[in-house]
Amino acid sequence: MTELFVIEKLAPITQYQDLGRFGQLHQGFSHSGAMDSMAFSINNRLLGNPKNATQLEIAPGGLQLRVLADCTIAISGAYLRPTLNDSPLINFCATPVKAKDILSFSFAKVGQYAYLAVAGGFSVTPFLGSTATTKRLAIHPGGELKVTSKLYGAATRLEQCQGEPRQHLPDYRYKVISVLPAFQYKKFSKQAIQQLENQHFTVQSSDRMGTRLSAQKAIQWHGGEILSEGLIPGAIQIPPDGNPVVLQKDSQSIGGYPKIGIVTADALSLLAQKQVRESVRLKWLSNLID
Amino acid sequence: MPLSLTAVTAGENAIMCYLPKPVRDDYPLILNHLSTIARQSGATDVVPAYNSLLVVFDKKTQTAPSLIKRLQTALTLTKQTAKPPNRQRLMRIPVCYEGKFAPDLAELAQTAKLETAEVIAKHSAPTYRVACLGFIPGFAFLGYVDDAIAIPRRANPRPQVVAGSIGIAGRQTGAYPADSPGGWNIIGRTPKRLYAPEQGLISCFEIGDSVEFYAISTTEFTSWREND
Repeated sequence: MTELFVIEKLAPITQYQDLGRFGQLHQGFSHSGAMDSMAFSINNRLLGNPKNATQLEIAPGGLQLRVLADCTIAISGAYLRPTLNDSPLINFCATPVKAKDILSFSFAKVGQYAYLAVAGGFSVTPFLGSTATTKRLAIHPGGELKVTSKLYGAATRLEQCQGEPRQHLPDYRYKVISVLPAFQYKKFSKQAIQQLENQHFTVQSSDRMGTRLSAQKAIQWHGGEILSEGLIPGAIQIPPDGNPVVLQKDSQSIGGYPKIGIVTADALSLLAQKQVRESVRLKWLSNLID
Repeated sequence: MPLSLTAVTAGENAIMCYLPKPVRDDYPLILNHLSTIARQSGATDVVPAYNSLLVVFDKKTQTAPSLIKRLQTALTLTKQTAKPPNRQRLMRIPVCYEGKFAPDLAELAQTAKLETAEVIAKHSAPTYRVACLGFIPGFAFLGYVDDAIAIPRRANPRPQVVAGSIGIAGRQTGAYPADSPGGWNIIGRTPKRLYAPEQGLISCFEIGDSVEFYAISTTEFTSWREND
């Protein structure tokens, strides 16, 4: 393994991620994994990496790395106006870099999470089968990253560098989040189900645990107390105040709030990229439940 | 009457199965068994809790209806054999109910109109059963404490509850496996390590396990060795 980068400036979120830690949810380990799994997957495809190869998740910006060995990188997700030695880099595109280059990420106008991948993937020792970081549980495979930390991998230079075709790129300005009926759906009133679709929500806060939406018309639950039960990312909890909380990758594994539905995997990536105060709409993909 | 499962969808690749309410004493054992069946049927994650089982599967190799059918069949067979076919484990956990280890014990005793010794006796008398895991890794929700010492969660959760702390919330009791914010009423602490991922200790508990607490002194707490 070669030293590929050294961190010179740290972004508030600078962490290793893969697609998540599975098979341990019953013990309380969140799935974790890349918040924007669509952008993550594109990066690995651009570099010909295995689907689950470890990348660096960066949010909301301010990261600076010095390159220590020649290699090929790809950048995806929110456009943090990345630069290589002060020249702009193209997002969703593979690029060769050389030792002593300076790679910088600023902040995004649209979106929150960006991904830095390297050909061959970052070399990180997995914990319980995954290299995903769960800061909430102090799980930092490869060590907690700080200024002066080094990132390791194989110094692989690709012959050809490709970009993702424009028509395949996610549109982070798209406001409609697809939702499937799930969990307590059938026990919500018709009015609650309609109100989820028939209003604009504002993102009140957003982190790796969940996206809290503020409703103009509160979503009401009249089903009484429920017993705590298993949770997965995407589940839409309705707390007593009627403002939905969409669980994200680092969410807890059990909880006792009723859930009206679940955001689809792709829409969850899109929702993760929404900044505070942005407005979104939720749309039922199907009103059928079997 | 045979138990039947009610299943609802939980998204593109997950189902939620429920056993009928109210929760029975044998549900943790039944859910443990159904979890095993679900894993054998290709589930990527299962979360059993109280009367429910969340099953996450790979939609390339499994479908919701076939999983539900297998679980229902397993449940019917469980009923016929009367005892779920899994091992029964008993964990005995030492607890020091003294001084700084028990910040909420005096208040709980006062609320319950009991002597602290009576609270300790009532807490350490039953054989509890793991009804649910999670909240943080290694945390087991144990059912159920004597009604006399049942007390709601604290109005203001503590920003930091020390690892090993033993708490009561409602009729549930449990041990904090790691330092964590928490709202349970803390009545003691165990010197036993419950979570040490770097040493490969992820959790002491499985749903359905039996758990007993026994009182130890502060001196015993400080001189505790892990293999005692």
